[in-house]
Amino acid sequence: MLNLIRLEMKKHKMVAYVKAAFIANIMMIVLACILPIIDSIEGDSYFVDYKTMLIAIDTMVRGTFIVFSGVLIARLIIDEYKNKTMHLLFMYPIKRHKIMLAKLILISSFTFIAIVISNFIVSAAFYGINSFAHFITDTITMKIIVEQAVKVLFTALFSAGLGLIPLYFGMMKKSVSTTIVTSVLLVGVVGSDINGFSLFNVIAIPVTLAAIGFMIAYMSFKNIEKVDVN
Amino acid sequence: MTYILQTHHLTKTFQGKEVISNVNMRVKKGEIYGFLGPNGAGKTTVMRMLMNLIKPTSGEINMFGQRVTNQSYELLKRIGCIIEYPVFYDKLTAKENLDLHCEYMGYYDKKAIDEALDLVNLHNVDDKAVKDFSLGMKQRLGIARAIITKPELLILDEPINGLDPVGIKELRNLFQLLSKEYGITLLISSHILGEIELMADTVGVISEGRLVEEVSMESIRNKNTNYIEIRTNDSKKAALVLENSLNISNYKIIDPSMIRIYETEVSQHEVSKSLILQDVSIHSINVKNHSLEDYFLTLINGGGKIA
Repeated sequence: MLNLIRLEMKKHKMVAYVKAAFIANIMMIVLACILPIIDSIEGDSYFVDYKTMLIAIDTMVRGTFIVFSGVLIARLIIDEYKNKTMHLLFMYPIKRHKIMLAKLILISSFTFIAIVISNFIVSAAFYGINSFAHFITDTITMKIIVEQAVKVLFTALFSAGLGLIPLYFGMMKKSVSTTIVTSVLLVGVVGSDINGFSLFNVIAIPVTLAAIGFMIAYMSFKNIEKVDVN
Repeated sequence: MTYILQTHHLTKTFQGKEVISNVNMRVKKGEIYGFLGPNGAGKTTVMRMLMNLIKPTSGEINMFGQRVTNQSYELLKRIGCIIEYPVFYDKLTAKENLDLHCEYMGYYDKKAIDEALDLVNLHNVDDKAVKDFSLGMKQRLGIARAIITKPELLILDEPINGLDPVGIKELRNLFQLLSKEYGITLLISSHILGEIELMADTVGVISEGRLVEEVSMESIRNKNTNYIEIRTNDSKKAALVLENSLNISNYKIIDPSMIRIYETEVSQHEVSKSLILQDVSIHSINVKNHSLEDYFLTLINGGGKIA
């Protein structure tokens, strides 16, 4: 299985996605610094403490990589069906469900890892920049860090699951754009934050969506050995 | 006789429509099997079933002495194939594609990549992405990929599509080499009779999803003898002359003004001389060759009528 994942990474040039993820990180750092500035220009006092900032960063990161997940689904699965390279893969002496599983594992672990690491990078960078730019005057405590770390691990896990939901819609018509649009809509639904209230914070919602995502992933290869590949 | 591939009553239905009906194919080990049929006859569908891409509605497939099931993945190691048209990871180069193929096949002799490219005569393509290849080059690369792991059975769907005449000849020689030197069994589909005729040992003719004939080329060649066709005003009288003065019994009266002589020994000159001497007028006399093409066309059209 590891070998299959390695081959997927090789042929889809995953290095490029890692680079893109880093560029996205830089942009998120910039955005994280701008948020309190705009806040103060507009005379609001919303982004004033670390707790709020970290939530904002987590929301950004999550949104970004759920869309990334959609892009990966489009590339690794939908495109392969469309270009018929999936036929090629299914003619190899490898069980079809293993091939699918390798792709799905790669996609959701990329989402999970990217969310965890990016949260760390963007938050740390914000902390670093803030220590001399003083966007906010709050001091960070160990309690906030630990709480946020636990939270990030869970959001990353949920996002890895719900990031797979676009697979279902994309597969219906084997459409790349449907896949990506679905993931953007998903981010719109679960990522929007209205005065601190987000659907993602109602724990049942991300858990359900993640479960649906993993279910869709499972359904995508459950019967795959028996079906015709057209 | 060992068969490397056999199908028994292979049938496939798509949405209630039977596209492959009761196909019984037998491919002998080491031969080149030409799978001939017009466009849309079901060649690709049969090949897809052989490669386990689509599953038979009924009937079974045996390969290398084993029954093919949903789980027959190990068999695929022993087969190289192109189905429909060769697909690649377009953005990668030829070598990267072949390299991936070897990895997926579990074949680790990297020298084989260059050898395969050599065999199909594909050179100087190192840095070029496959999307910039011509159809002919893709076809060659597809064949290179199919043969790289030295399979026992090669399944090639219309492999000469998109090639120029020189390329076609090169590949024909390659197929013959693979068959003779490497002992690879080849199943090659085509709608071009001339090609199949030049290389196949056995021909399977498919028409509207039915295998209407499976026959060795040798026996077809023997079947298709030349004949002399005579147009005359009175074929009955002509027949009498043929029997009495030339002792020919192997003839056929086609209609009152046409007669065909299937005797190979007799010369056109002798026939016309005897007929004229007996006062049978001749409108025309020709030596005709009942070609393979006629043979297959009759088969395919005949097959159409059955369906």
